[in-house]
Amino acid sequence: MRELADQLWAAGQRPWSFSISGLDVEGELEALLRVGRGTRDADWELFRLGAMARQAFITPAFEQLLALEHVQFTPLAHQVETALRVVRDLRGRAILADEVGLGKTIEAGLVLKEYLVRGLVRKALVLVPASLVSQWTKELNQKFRIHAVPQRDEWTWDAEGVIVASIDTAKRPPHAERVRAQWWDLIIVDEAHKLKNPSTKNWQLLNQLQHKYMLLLTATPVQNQLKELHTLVTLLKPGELGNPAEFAERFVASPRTPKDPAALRQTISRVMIRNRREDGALELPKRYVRVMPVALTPEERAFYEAVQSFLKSEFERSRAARASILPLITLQREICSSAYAALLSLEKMLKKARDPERARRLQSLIEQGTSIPSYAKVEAVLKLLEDAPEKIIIFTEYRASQDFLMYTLKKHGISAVPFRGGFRRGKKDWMRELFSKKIRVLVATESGGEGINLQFCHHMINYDLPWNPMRLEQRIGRIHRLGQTHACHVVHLVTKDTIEEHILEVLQEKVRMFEAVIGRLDELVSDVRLDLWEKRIFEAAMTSRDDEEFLAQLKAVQVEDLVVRKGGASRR
Amino acid sequence: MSPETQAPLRTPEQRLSFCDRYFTSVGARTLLARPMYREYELPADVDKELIERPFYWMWVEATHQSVEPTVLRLAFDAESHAREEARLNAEQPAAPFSWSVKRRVELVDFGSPLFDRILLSAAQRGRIACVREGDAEREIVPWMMVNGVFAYTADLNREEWFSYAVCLDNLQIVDRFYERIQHRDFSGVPAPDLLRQSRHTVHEAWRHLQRALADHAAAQDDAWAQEAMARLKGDLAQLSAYYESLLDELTDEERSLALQERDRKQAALIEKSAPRIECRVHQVALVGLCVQRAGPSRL
Repeated sequence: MRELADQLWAAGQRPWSFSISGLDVEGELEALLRVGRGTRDADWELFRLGAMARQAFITPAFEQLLALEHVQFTPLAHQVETALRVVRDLRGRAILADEVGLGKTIEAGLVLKEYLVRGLVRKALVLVPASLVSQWTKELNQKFRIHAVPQRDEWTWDAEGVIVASIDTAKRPPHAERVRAQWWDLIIVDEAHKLKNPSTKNWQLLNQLQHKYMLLLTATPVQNQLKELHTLVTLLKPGELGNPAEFAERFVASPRTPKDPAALRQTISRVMIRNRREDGALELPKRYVRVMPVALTPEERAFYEAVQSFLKSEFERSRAARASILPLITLQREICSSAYAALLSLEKMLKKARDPERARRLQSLIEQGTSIPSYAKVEAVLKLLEDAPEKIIIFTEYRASQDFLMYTLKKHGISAVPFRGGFRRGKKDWMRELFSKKIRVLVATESGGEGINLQFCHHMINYDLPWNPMRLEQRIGRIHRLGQTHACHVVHLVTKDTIEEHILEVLQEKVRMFEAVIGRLDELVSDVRLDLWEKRIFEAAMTSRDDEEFLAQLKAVQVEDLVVRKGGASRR
Repeated sequence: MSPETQAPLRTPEQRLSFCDRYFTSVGARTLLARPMYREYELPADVDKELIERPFYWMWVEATHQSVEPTVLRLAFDAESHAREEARLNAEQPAAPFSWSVKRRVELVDFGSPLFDRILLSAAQRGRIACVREGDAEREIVPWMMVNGVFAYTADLNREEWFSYAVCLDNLQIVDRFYERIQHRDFSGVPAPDLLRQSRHTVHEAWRHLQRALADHAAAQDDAWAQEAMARLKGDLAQLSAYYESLLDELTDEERSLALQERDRKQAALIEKSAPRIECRVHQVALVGLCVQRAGPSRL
């Protein structure tokens, strides 16, 4: 074909091909002549109706969004503009990188509908995390009137139409082979940051799929390194950013710092669209965030102090031995969530402990933890549930806290369902459905919360606080998002006189700081290492003599401190 | 059709009138007609086209069941929809659980799946006709007409309606034929009767029409195709350069895989972006027009 195109141009001929298709005219004429079909008076009336029906479906112009008159809702202005830009300017291969909650799904749905209406897409694949398969299918059917089906078995891939599937299923045998064998007019990948590494099966599968158009949806096209951007763009348009070496040469100063941000932004705009809240892309109902301080019971306080003292000695030991402090960070975060959550880590440590003295100390901590008679945060939750009569989501970081909450709510006759990442798709749908229809409380862990929309609820309790400020935003974003019609009420439970209390104060400050940095388009080339942020918190907790010093250390952390220089060392 | 003019069937009144005409033509009974609301009883063949339930029909036919015909309850605007839902709910109370209430009246707006199926059914059933003007005694000239769309496609597409006809007496070609004759009175006639006096066969006529359709495509401004082809060539060059730059560092085996990958992606780019004009024929008809004193036929 390319040779043909070259020849046509060289010969000064027309650069288009011509064909006549549609009705088998000779066959129809035979039917007319021999069988006498089409000769009733009613046939002429049907002929006129048929002409009108065909004219109603005509695509009158190249640059017009026809999908709008076919869908069952009115999209927001920035969503319409984005869909139009994707089909008109980016020619159907694009990264949709709107900030969380601005409606990337709506934009992708509009693009899909547009191509379906124009007859340019007949077979499409929507790859999403397993937990979102049903939600996507439902939304495409209800909002966009697209007959989408969830992938059920290995035969589904052969079907015509729109298939919604989990990327984890698609990449596994026997599915991968069948998916690769198909021609896809359009592929949509939700949570596309999972394609940031070219050596993963996710990326390799996508790279091998035969397709015309492709949309990659992610709010964070770059999480850690600039080369992730190259990896994503190469899936869409190989060569747009050169090969890896050329990209590094032209655009990369350090793994996380661009050489020429303006040029990079300009180049990226040919394949990526990002809408931001600060550009007025969206106005949501108000959100009210309230901090509720909780005083630990004397037994909890004693346990907390004992664990802190254990952590400090372990921190010194790990530093001296140059051992990983990750388990200690986990324990520190767990003890902020609940004594119950910390017990699990302590038990794991005990199993691994070789030093008898250390084992005795752990055993004693475990006994102290298990003998706590009541839990202040749980009491606070029960009080909040008494005061607020509506549906509530309770978020916790830890499965153990979730289990304990479920147990307590059940004991008090409050209807509740759990929600977590490990559930199968059907169970997640069922839990969400139960919560929307008849259950009052949803107790969710972080991993379960990713991507689910719970706009029908507008109350949230954060049972514990994530140390990563963006994760706190993501939690709130489950209810405070597009489609929410009520003001949202969020309560952070914070235990007094623990590092959680101080973290919250700094966290709020940092949320603004992160928004300032990450919220701009430069976040594409964002240098911020959130894992370093968590490490700084822990180090500050372990090395401070008192609260004042701890707070001062936390406040001293700047975005620049979390920037990593070439070679991996942070700028401190 | 220019984008400025309103496309057909975009108003509730147009959709109501279309449905009335369609259901009458396919032999459905109108059980109830209220303002912007209709109830139609479907014959089985229409039911099969509009409501997708092949297993139900398989079961009905395999067991020789006689089943009650389906009644479609269609509202053409929100007001009639609410009014008739309320009426039906009053006549027959809804289920006890609020989430299990089934809507019994379907709102027919543009883009609704049922209306799409009605349009497709009309397009399918109305693809062929053989008609004549006036009564059997009057002399007529036979024409063969084809209607359809020209689709101008690259990354995006644009379509335009066409109607070409050829005179079976003298092979004269006429553009926009359907627009000129659609409001005249015609009645069905057997094709052999219509063609009895014609000097040319329908096969000759179709060959002439195909040439006219190709000439029509060639006469259009092809700036869009020039642009699309230039873009495609740029994209193909970029793709080739990318894979070329990778080859040096690859082993023979990797190189062969990379080249296969490049070829696959080239083919996909061409499929996506190569400019093409497709003439899609949707309807064909034989039309007998009354002879006028001044000329062979009145147009």
